[in-house]
Amino acid sequence: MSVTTVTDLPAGPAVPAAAPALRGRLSLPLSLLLVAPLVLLLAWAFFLPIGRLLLTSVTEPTLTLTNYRRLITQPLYAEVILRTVWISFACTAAALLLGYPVAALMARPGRVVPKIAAVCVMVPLWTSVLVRSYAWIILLDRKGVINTLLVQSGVIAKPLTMLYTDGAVLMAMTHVLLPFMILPIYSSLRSLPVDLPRAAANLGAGRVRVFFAVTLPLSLPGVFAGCLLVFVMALGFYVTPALLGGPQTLMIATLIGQQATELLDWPFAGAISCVLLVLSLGMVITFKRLLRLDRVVAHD
Amino acid sequence: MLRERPAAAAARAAAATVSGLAVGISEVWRRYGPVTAVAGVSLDVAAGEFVSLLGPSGSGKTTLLMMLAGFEQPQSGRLTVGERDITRVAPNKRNVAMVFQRYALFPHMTVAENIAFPLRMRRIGRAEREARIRRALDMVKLEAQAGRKPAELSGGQQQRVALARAIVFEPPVILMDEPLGALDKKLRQHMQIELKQLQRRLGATVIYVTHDQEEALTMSDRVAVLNHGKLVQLGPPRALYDQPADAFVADFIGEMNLLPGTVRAMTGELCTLAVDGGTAVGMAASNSDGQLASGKPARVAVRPEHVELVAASGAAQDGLPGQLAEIVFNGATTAMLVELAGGTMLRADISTRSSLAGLHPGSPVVASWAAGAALVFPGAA
Amino acid sequence: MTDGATGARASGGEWLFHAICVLVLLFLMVPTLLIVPMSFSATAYLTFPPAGFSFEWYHTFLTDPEWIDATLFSLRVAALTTLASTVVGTMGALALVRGRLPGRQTIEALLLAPLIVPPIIVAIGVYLQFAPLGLTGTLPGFVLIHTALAVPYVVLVVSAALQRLPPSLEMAGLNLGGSRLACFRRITLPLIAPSILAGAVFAFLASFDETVVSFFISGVEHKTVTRKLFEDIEFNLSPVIAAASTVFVVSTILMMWLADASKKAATQ
Ligand SMILES: Nc1ncnc2c1ncn2[C@@H]1O[C@H](COP(=O)(O)OP(=O)(O)OP(=O)(O)O)[C@@H](O)[C@H]1O
Ligand SMILES: [Mg+2]
Repeated sequence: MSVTTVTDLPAGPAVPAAAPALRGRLSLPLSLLLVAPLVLLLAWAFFLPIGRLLLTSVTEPTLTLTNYRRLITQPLYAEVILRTVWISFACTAAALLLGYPVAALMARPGRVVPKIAAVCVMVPLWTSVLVRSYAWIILLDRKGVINTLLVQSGVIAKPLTMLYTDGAVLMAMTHVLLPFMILPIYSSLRSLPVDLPRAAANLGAGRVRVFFAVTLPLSLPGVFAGCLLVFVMALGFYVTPALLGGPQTLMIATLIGQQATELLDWPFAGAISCVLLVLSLGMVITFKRLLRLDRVVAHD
Repeated sequence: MLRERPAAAAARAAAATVSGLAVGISEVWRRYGPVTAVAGVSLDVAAGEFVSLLGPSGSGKTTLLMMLAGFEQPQSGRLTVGERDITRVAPNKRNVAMVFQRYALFPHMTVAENIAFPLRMRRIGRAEREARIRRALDMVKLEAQAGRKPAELSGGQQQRVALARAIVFEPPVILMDEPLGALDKKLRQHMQIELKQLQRRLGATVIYVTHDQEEALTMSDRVAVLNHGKLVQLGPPRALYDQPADAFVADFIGEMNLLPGTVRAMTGELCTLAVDGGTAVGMAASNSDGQLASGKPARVAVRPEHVELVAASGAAQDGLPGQLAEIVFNGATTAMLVELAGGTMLRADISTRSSLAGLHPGSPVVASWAAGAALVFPGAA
Repeated sequence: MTDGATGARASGGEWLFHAICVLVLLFLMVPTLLIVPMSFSATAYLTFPPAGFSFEWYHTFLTDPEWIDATLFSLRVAALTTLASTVVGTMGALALVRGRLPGRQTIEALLLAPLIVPPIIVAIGVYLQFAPLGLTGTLPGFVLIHTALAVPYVVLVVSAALQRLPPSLEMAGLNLGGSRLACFRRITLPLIAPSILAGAVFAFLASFDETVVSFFISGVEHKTVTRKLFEDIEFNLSPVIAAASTVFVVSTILMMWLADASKKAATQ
């Protein structure tokens, strides 16, 4: 809407100040007024604290990189980072293998079965992570459900140690994050026209061929979105590793918590946070287009 | 020069109880970046008149309407309703009703509540409001549906609700943007008649956007043809059909053969052209202003119903020789498609009852027409 | 189970597919459902199957002042967070969808950050920011940070609803003589109300369930119920946790179901 281009017009008359297009749009001052609380709140209560935390990692006690040097030179920390990446990766793979069939079941036509599947996915999603981690403690404890059942049925003589191991953390995290894998895959399968697999079948492809040649490739956006979501959430997971993990199963998030609360080493916590943030945001920004958070949150 | 006095319309409008107001559009411009949506349009609509804005997609019809409704601002020019300058008036203060293409009915309100909306906004008392709603519902024959939600109505019924909602506050001017665009052909034709009758009864001024030229010709007192944001011709339907101002209008309104050729001779207004290995005649278009001279390129426009066909006799005949390519039965008329000697296609509509025995695809024919039935426009295609 | 897609009789592959699905669905549901029988246990220790049946732990949950205080505090925080994020988020969504904003896309991208940034980082950062101001362990402190974390849900849900709304509706309202405010109140607001409600429910749950930040900024005086749960799970695995969890899970499901039902009712 440039005024000058209008006056450039050969037959055009002199034009007054550009008039706003009114098609249902709010004016600039009103827009700014409406968005101001949102922006100010996020800036002050969210971005500023994170920025300051990251800043302390290089400014305390003086302008320094010692915190990062420590992170690199002490093998313990590299180990924690590697373990976190490994557990997140395993968790993503497990969630994908377990989640895809359920997503496919939910996307099928029919009333009862997909609905039951959807309820089974949504109820855990709406249940606090704390509660679900607690449930896994009940299951995996030495006196827990699984040990009791195994001992009573004579499969094992003495209870197994399952809690406070990598396996426990992995299992519980997969359980907690599984819905975030299922929902994006489900939504991409749902938007797939039913005619496509049918057309492929009509052209002579068998069930397996139809799946690998048509259904799977077309659901890949959902698969990528789910994997990214699960991986990034797993990287920063705090509650489940803190409750189910032992001292040997430290992950990045629990390490940050430990440094901050037990050792009161805020600058070092800031440095680890920086690594975690770079990992998470790096993943998200790299694969940004695959991640449609709004689709996961605002599914109808 | 393009503006003719709407004498007939004014007379008719005077006969009805005119509650409408005149609308003035003068030298209105609107550009979007490099696109000129409306380029200096001037148009005066008389009180109670029904004027259609007709033009191809992107010709600026909606933009012009949006400016009248106040949802767009002209970058220059003036808009008036009656004596009032509304160029800078807020949309909700204009008192100019609009019927939207997709109706824009409020889905959470019943039919009656939808119709009540403009009355509530004008703080009209309950008794008066209910009476007016009843009258409006009666006018569009929707009394039985008053309690329903828009989603529970058919397309035609929704259209009527939109109409009732627009007329209930007795606006002096009603704008409609392809109000029948979403209806099927049968219902559209039916609604065209109803709309027109309603407008007569109300005496309101209507500015009606359509890209359906048949609709514009049937309903309007005058039609304004827009192309690339410019008003190219304004006149009663018949004038547009018989005296198109330029080749665009000629082509756009109704069926038209537009044959490119070269001027051979001018005798007063009578122009003789060489077209595709034959000779064609026509009257110089009124605004061709001496641009037609021997040797210049030109196009002759002739309607299919004015073309006469005879079987070629071998002897020299005046007209355009060609070969009958196809015969398409259309009911009352039959379209004969002729491939002229140079390859151009020409259509002739012949009354199905008149016998053209012996003609079949492949027959050599000669096409001709009365000079007064064709117009010659200067310039190549 | 019938196969709606083809209506064919279950083949071997189909059978395997369903078997896998059933196992995964059990994996999803069983841990969650398990807390229910545990909450009615008669013993103070975890035993399975639960020995006896009692309401003792519900009684404890409802009478122990620590649990009551934590629950009431969490409810207060969540209620205020819901109010604040619904208002702030709806305003923001309006500006983002209907307004003319410079940097709209930047704001939209930054809005997703609270959903992506690991909560532990937020927790530590917020602690550092709030502690010197005396905001840790206070109601305003909790409401501020919970609103920042919950408001993106509201913006996303309400923006989606606004985008679905044809602009011609409000234009029609203006054309028929309504002021901007009247059109918003009578047309836009009723039409997006179900989504605002859904956003409010999300915000409430986001606040009530928020664990990590609450854990770090809870004070001695004011702690949220998630902090209380966290401590109890870590230090004394009493069945009260199961009772409390059951109450929370059931209320959550009820709320989500209500929000869903209201949204469905509104779109019909
Ligand atoms: N808000 C806008 N921004 C940019 N360009 C626009 C805008 N509105 C219209 N235009 C342009 O202005 C020109 C005229 O558009 P307009 O909608 O008035 O056409 P129209 O005659 O109503 O066409 P149709 O028959 O397709 O509805 C088009 O080229 C269009 O692309
Ligand atoms: Mg248009």
